[in-house]
Amino acid sequence: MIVEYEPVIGIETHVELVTDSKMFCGCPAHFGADPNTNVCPVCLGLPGALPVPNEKAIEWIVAIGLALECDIAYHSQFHRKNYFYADQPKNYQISQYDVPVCSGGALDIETDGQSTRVRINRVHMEEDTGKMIHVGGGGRIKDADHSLLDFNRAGVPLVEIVTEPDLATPQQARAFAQELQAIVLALGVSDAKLEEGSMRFDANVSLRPKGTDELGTKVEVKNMNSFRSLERALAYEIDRHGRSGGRRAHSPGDPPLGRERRDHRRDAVQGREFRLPVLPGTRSRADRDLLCPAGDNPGTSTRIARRPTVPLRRSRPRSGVHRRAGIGGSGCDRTVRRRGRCRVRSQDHRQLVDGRGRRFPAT
Amino acid sequence: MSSLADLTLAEAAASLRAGEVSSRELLQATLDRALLTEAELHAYLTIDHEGARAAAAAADEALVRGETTGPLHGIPVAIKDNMVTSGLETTAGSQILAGYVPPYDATAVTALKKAGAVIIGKTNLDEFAMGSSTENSGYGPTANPWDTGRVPGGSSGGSAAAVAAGSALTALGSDTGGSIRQPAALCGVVGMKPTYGLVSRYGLIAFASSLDQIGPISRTVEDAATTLEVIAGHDPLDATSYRGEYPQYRASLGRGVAGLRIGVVAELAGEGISPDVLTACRSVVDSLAEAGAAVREVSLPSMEYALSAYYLIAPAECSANLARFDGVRYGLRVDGATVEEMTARTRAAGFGPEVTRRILLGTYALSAGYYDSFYGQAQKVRTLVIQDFTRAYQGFDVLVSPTSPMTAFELGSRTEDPLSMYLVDVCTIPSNLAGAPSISVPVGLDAAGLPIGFQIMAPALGEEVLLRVAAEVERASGWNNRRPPLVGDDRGV
Repeated sequence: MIVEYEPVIGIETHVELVTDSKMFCGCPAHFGADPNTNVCPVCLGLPGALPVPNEKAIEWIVAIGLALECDIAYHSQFHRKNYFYADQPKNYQISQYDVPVCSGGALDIETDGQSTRVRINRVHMEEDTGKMIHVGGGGRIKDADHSLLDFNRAGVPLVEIVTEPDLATPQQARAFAQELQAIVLALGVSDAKLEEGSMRFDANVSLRPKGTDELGTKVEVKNMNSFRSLERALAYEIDRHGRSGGRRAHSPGDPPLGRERRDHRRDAVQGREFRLPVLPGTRSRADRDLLCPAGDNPGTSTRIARRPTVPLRRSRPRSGVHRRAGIGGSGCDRTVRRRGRCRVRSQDHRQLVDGRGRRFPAT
Repeated sequence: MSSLADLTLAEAAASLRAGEVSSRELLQATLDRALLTEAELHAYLTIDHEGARAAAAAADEALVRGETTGPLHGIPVAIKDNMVTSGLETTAGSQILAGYVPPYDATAVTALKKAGAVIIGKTNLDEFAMGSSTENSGYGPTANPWDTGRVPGGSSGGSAAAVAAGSALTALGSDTGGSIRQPAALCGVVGMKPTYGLVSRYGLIAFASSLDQIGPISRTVEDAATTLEVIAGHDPLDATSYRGEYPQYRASLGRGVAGLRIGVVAELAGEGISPDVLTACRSVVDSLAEAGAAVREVSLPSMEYALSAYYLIAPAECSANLARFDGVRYGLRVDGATVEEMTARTRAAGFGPEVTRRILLGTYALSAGYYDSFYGQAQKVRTLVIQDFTRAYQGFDVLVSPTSPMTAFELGSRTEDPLSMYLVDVCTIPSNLAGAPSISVPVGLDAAGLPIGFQIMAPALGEEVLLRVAAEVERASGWNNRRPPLVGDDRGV
């Protein structure tokens, strides 16, 4: 009997926000500065430094969540994702685990005149890592003579958008990615440039016998830097995977798909999954630096996102997006109230000054 | 008193304002005392002669101009070496940070400087504040001024010994499971852990973020209140900093305890507590009753599990907090063929055995599959402890117990058995789990002439009632800034 397989695709998207300051400190979050100039004790992970969440970033993730029809958590929480990597200053990433800011949304896409509803599992807030530049050995960490680190990007607000496995073809995946980019651009919260990495797509693909609900062994396609490469890489994996009957896991011995498929930044830890509770050795817990202190009842903790205020100057028109995100017009307050509000202890980073009244970084 | 170094902070501040002494003279007396005692005590890791002299000179000039910037103006203060100081080496007692010079000041340090305090130097501690005897320091132990063959307690042993010996008039410590109160008890000084969030943790090198709190170590309750007033306050750089009112803590002193309801914690007043300590504490309780307080025994059943919960929660948090010491950006680096090898070698060489033990414990407790049965259970116990306290405070204003089950023990007597060292914290840990304030006040000496500490606990933000009772305990005990034999009058200091 011939079993016919169908692909099941889910996409994780990372979007760097273009806030003025970084996620947990007052350093500029912008690109283009000389290496290690937009840094301070917090984003360098110096001993004693503590994170303070960026209010603006939380407002913007709420805007993204609303545009994707998500539920917004009334209280949210940050966790630490623990793993050692030289470009990660604290050797843990502040991320979210069981209480993301946004959950349970959807995005409708169109391919070949057919509409598909892609459910959004969650949209959560985290921080970016620094950049490692490997010198010598063709730029790969294994063969490099030495490596250079630039922490300007460390701590830049990063929004992760995770879909349910609702996509069935590489074409749909591409359409989803393009639509999501359009929304983010419409909100004006990110440059969303694939080639610069300010928007990055990872896809999970597996095959299953047509008509069944089971999920097969999944393969990860990471850090695609163009829509075309996302579509091509998925088509390649589906083809390769299909020939192995949908049971084949990714193995290091598999022929590489050019440079598109490899996450060169993470060669040394390739194959290790950082999803939170999954693998032994991967730990996550509430970041106690970001919880409310004693005597501060949650009802009085900082209110954020009364309604998202996004930089309309930068935003592009896109039908329905602004309305859904509660931006502009008289209906916005109602929209946000219906969706609920998110409370995290965050604050306007313009208040962040050091003991001598200077703004961070103290330069 | 034979030396300016033996004045209380309040006496020194009054003399400064009256123009009877200068900040430079106070500093000189303090540095002279350090010169005399440091060879035996090793309370300091770094003494900043130059910086302190400049600060004292500046304080004196301000006094001449008629400007006094605060209650600590011109006062020599010591800082535990796990609080970062701009331009001054900060090691947290660890070899992994040997030679590390921070580029910024902790918020509490900034507050001291703003108040005109003269920072003498950085005091010794158990590595990363993990320990109860200061023997875990990567730079050698500190001795107790009352008997230099004994430990000063820990982890803020250097600060407690310096204040007791007169090489600082007041000091900052940090308290994660008793690290201010227990050494204060063993050294015969006052040590206070404020409510979690009252003093900014920004710049305090983190051990266990949900438990760490900076607080004062001083000679008197009033001096502790004065020091707390300076360092307490909202800090936008610490997201867990308290945002409400900060009262003038000294205002609550001297009001007596008449009408207050005081609960003696039954679980911390029997088994495992040395007879001398129990006797001294009972006598204090009697005098509180005589002073008009309603004293009754109260049971907090969860106390017996608090220690076990703490030794899961604290290592779990430290395992993440100490991950940043990897040799990449600062501190010690031991080279290796790869980044991973370099990091592993650096950490193996830089961390001492107790820190390594706790990182391993914590990593295990947090690992997938064990998280719920260890860390999850410990968090449940923590909730029970908080509930027990909440219930008790419905009927009591404060709770009391001994600070430490025993007085200062001999150097080396517990280092071979970590568990026996952990038991030293049994009375102090519950307040950290609850995030509530607690203070240790010296109340007498045991048969061997070693100080005994009495602990008072209050609900979160209950600093005023806490200090009010502490002042009465101090008065009733007749301690009166008693000096250790090392620096007693007979030494001709």
